[in-house]
Amino acid sequence: MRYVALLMLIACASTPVQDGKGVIAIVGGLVKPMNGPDIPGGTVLIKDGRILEVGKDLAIPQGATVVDAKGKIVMPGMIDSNTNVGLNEIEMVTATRDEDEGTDVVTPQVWVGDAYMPASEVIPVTRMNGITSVLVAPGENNVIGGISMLAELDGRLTSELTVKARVGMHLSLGEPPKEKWGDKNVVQTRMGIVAKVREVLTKAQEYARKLEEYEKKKDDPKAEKPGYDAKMLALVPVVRGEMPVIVRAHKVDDIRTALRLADEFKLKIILSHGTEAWKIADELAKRKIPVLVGPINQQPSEIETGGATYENADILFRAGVKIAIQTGDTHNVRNLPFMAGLACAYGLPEEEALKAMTVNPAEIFGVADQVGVLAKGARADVVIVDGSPIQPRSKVVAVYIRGRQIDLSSRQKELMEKWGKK
Amino acid sequence: MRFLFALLLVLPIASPLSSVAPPSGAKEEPARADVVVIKGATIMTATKGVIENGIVVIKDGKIAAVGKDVDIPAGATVIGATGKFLTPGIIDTHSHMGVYAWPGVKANSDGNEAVHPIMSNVRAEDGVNLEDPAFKRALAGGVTTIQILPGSANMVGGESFVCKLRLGSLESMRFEGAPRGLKMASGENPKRVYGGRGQLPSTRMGNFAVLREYFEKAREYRDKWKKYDEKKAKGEEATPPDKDLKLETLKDVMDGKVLVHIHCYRMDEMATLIQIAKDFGWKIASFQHALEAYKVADLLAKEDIAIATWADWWGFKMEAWDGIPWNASMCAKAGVRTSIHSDSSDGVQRLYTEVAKCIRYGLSEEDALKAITYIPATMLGVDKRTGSIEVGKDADLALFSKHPFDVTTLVEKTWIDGKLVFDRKVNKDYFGGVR
Repeated sequence: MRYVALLMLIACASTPVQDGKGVIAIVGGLVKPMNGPDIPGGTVLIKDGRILEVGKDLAIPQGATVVDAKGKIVMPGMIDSNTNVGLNEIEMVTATRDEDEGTDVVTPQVWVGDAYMPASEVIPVTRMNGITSVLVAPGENNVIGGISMLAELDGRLTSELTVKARVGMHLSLGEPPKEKWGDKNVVQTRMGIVAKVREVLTKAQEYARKLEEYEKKKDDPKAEKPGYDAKMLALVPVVRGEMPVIVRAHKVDDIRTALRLADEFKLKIILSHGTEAWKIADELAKRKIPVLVGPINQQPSEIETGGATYENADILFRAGVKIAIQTGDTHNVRNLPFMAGLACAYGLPEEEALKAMTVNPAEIFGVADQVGVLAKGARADVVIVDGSPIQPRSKVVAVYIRGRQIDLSSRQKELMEKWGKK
Repeated sequence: MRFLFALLLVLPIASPLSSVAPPSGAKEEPARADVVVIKGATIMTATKGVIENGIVVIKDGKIAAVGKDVDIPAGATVIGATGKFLTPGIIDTHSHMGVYAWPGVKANSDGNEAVHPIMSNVRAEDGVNLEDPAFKRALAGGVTTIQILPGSANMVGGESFVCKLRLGSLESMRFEGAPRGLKMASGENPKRVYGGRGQLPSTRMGNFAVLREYFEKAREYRDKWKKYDEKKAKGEEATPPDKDLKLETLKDVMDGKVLVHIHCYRMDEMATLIQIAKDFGWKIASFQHALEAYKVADLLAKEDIAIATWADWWGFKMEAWDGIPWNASMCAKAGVRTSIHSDSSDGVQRLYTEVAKCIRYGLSEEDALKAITYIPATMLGVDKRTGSIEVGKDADLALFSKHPFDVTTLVEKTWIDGKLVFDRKVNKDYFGGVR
């Protein structure tokens, strides 16, 4: 009833600027565009999967579907900046695992999109808490693990749900490559890991130089094109500084190694995990190196995470480092907002926590015109929450991905309903 | 700078036990360190409702008074807690602290004696590394009592160690008077560990065949001792049977002297285990993990078997595929004693946030608090002593900065037996604070 009244009110009050067919108007909520100030009682207009307009007192096109968000928060769908969603269905069933191409220690030529499963049962479970995009990253066992993508959590085909197909090349420093490849006599030490990186990147630089020379004089029939090399071709954008390297490092020594490699090979790097990043927060800020910090609950449970502290995210933020929050998880990526909440318990302002799950990762991954913001032209990935998004007791009321309201059911909910009836 | 300022703010109240402000109206009397009063907090008793702006009086390590209009004993140490929340100390029935101490290197792995599927002869306390830094982090999470369990590689993993986090020695920690506990397991872990070696068991059939075989042996063993005891009682000549320490523990299980906690995910295995327990005349105290408990909640309620589960873990193995976050709420509604455990030196620090997630999926706030305090106390057989804020119980308490189910809350102080064992302003190393 309230809804109908509101609809009539709006229909009368505003001059219809256009045909509202297919337009969704989310009205009355506290709109958080995330790339600008909050708009209390703001309106978000959606059409054709994109955001048409965001603002205060916008005219609602006649015939638009009006969604009342009064008393609620309207924000961009949240982004988890490191997951294995779609690559890992059941952890201990190898047939369902596709994140680590364990046949070689250096696999830059593999791309997660070739394994991503849009029908994964993990996806509906994840988005019921308002997460609408995830970085789908390769595993951490290989020194160079492959190329990640940023995926929206809805869609039948990988091609339609890809926000950005090739986000970054994943480099893993520290314990996992030692553990996985040590017994196989491939790499056994941090020295060995870095030597391997140096060897591969040096070759890639050579390859890129040859390719460049060939491109300059390709009209010359005598010009020789460098032979096809999948690994080298994958690394060309990396050594040209076009594709960022997402470096997995916990320990401060490994983080410093990443910085040295960045200097030596002129790499554009993004730090992932960064458990001990707080120890050199000022340096990371000065060098403008973003950190995909997390999991926030990282413990000193391994040698390389000995310096884990819940204060990490806040220390990095206050030093001026651009942070995004990651769960580093698969099945419980849905807990991303509560992880952010834990960082808030230890000092991170709530607004910064929200940025670290929306606009910051979007900027870090170079897609801030697409996701992580409520802005004209962006993909209409919108979440409506009935309270603070970081609080476990708040409820996600509605989720839109590319302008489509998502059915928040899941295999889990079906199980609940099936066995609850009994 | 900020830190210095904070320090200045903190210093005058950093050591409440020494700087005593007499309550208004009280006569000037010598301070009594044995009487502590927590004043002004919202007291969440777990069993007797919530008292706004209440008072708790602690005397000789016990809760001497609880309520709104309680006289403050003269000379008592008064801790002002207005605006804060006081709960019973948190209890975790599934911990591997000490037996899988940090850092997680092989040398610290002491939780699974995986040399035989039946290891009723080992005890968790013999593997506990008292220097595990996780213990202090648990105190910073308001945890006061835990059950340290052996792992789940074996069908019978060994005896548990029920303790209060009175750190120092095994003896200072041991929960005096707590019943013995035994860890059992089922499902994927035992069959993977032994099957991987080409040994029995490699299937669930094998798992339960081994378990039944050992209870049959234990029954024979018990009968031998019974005959011996009878003969002796009649004054007849009798040779005592050979002691068998594995069977000795199983015999104690059948005699009802040991609480049995079974790692079990699938509902069919729960049903089988209930039958096995009946066949051999013992009782299951709890199913641990119990991800499919919601499918047989009525059965568990009828048998009065408690569960300890996670808020939302699932998908990490096949038997965890049907795990749903509604498990706790569905079980609680069906009348099952439902608790949230950690099974993790990380999760144990924030069981209050874990259980807050269950509220999202239908658990009432009242049941949520009970799920990390009173219910686990019943599971360990220590509910007469701890698990709620009631007169006469041990003063095991946690003081929160905000409502415990607010994700930004922090435990400010933890008491065990009335003794302050964690103070956020003093014990920064307990939570890994670096500033």
